[in-house]
Amino acid sequence: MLGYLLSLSAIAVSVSGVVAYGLELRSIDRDIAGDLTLRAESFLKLASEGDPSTGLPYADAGALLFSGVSQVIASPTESAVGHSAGVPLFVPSYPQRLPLERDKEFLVAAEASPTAPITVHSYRSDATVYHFVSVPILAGDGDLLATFTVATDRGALVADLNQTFAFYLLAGLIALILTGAVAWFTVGRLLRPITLLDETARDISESDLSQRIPIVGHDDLARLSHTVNAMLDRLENAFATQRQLLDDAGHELRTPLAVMRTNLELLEPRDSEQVSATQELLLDEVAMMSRLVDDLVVLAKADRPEFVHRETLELGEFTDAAFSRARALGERVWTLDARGEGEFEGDGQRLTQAWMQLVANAVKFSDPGSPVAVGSSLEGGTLRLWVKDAGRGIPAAEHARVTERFHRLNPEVEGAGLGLPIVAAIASAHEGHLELESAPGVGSLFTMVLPVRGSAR
Amino acid sequence: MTRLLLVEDEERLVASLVDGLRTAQIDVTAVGTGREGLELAKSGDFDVMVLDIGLPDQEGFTVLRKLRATGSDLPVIILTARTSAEDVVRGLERGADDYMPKPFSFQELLARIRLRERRVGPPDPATAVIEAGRCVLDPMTRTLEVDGEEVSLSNREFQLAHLLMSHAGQTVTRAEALEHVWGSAARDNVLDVYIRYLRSRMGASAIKTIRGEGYQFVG
Repeated sequence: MLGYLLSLSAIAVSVSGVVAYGLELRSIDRDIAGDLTLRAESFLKLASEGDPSTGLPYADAGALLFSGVSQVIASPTESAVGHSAGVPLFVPSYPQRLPLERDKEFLVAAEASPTAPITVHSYRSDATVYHFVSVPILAGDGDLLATFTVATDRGALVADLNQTFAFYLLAGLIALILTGAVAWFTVGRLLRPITLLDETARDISESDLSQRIPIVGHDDLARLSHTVNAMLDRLENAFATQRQLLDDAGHELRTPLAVMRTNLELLEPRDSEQVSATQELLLDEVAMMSRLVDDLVVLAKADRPEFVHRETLELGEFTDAAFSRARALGERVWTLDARGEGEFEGDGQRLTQAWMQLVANAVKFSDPGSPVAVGSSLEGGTLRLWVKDAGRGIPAAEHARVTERFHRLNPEVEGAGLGLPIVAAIASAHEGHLELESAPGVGSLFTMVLPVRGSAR
Repeated sequence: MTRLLLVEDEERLVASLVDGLRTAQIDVTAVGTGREGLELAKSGDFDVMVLDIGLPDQEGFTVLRKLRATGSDLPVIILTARTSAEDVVRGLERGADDYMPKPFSFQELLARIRLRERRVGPPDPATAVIEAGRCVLDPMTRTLEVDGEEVSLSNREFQLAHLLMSHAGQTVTRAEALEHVWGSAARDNVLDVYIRYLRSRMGASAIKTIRGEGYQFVG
């Protein structure tokens, strides 16, 4: 992240440096060319208009050259020279002038350069590069009498520019270092929640899901932390539920195991009567444990999405099927309270299982010959499946606890206390819930209340 | 005879424990609730108490705490279906002398009961080693040696052997034997099966049949 930011800054600094350098160089060349052209033009004007002080043409080439060279304001990077056959004739009087006259080869090259129209030429000496314009003074027959040359030391100007850009480079480097430092600090601050998130996520194992990411500020990261914390809540909950289930299961399975073990240890192999009695008892225990294991598996699966396989069901037919199965469960006065009609989406098998569990409970806790009513309705987007008995009933204080796993109102009645938890789990897997109306001595009414999905109106 | 108070609500476990402990000369009184258990424990008529933690009316811990609050030092062994160390610690802190996690080994429970039972009065004659003829019977280790060779016996076989050998030279009636070993005279035919087995181990002549009365150990 830091490296990325630094490279980005470095690219920005370099690109702007290179572009500025290029532009500066172009502007130097343009200035040089303009300047040289101006000087050459004013020399030509002098040649054609004559001496400005007298208005008369110059007597000879020497006079013209002298006048032209004296007009030039020399500087350490610019100067003029009047010369002939490589020999300087006139130079400006300024002592710090660019000493063009000392370079004979340059003078020779300048004399050989093409002339009209005014053209800026370039000459590379050992030390530097000159840009120059040369104006030849010709005799009537076309012979070259002398040459007027004005030149600029481009090498020196470029060296100046290079020096400026060396400073720029230094400044750029310092800026990069500063940027890096600031970025390191800022990125560290920005990334701290992410680092924390990373560390927390790593620390979190199945054994310790209690940690949460501290939430700082109101930005995207705070929102992400919120989301992760919510996910951790769900995970912790799921793990706790699983652990509780396992714990309960272990507890519930140990008692039948203790019964089995004691009986086996005390079994007298030569007492055939005891052998068959023990066999019967152990088979009974095994059957109970098998039921317990089945129920536990159902409950363990209930949180998963694949627990419920929805299909389209017709409530009338579904009710009829359930009612006829219910009647087989015991000698009771069976009534079909209501038969709802319409289509709904639900898991037929699971709903039947839950409904039959309610019926089995009604039979278990009521006397033979007492009335048990089954009913269904589909109204206002709500599906209701109920079972009503005139059995023992449940005290109000116990209503909330009946769906707790392994909670048994009467320990003497057979069962592990998983029936109603399974019904409640199936109802909630259908996004519904289990309702209970009951009073001791009156009877109980259990209703699965499920929101309807699908085509039903 | 050791008097044991068993407080446990799982009937089938109670039935097998009562039966098994009786063969080990332990007289068991079983109740299914903490309330009854506490009442009986306070009566002081018991040598040891076996207390389940998961009782229907109150937790075994509560019974234990209330019992200790009365100043009783009755040895208590707790039975727990939870294995967490927390439960064990809670039990021991509240004054339990020992604990057994379910499912437990009956022999281990018996050994712990023997270890914890309150020793009062003269040493129990039931635990003295009996030597008679070729046989040596050690009630503490519940082993029988015939001519120096160890013979494995089931609980009831041991009890029957013990009864006969402790009355060596005397006649033990069928009714006495049935009552002592099986707790009822209803299992008449089973006695013959056990006598046959003991004879096969001790030698056919070791136990004499007294026609119309019972059996006599002659060694």
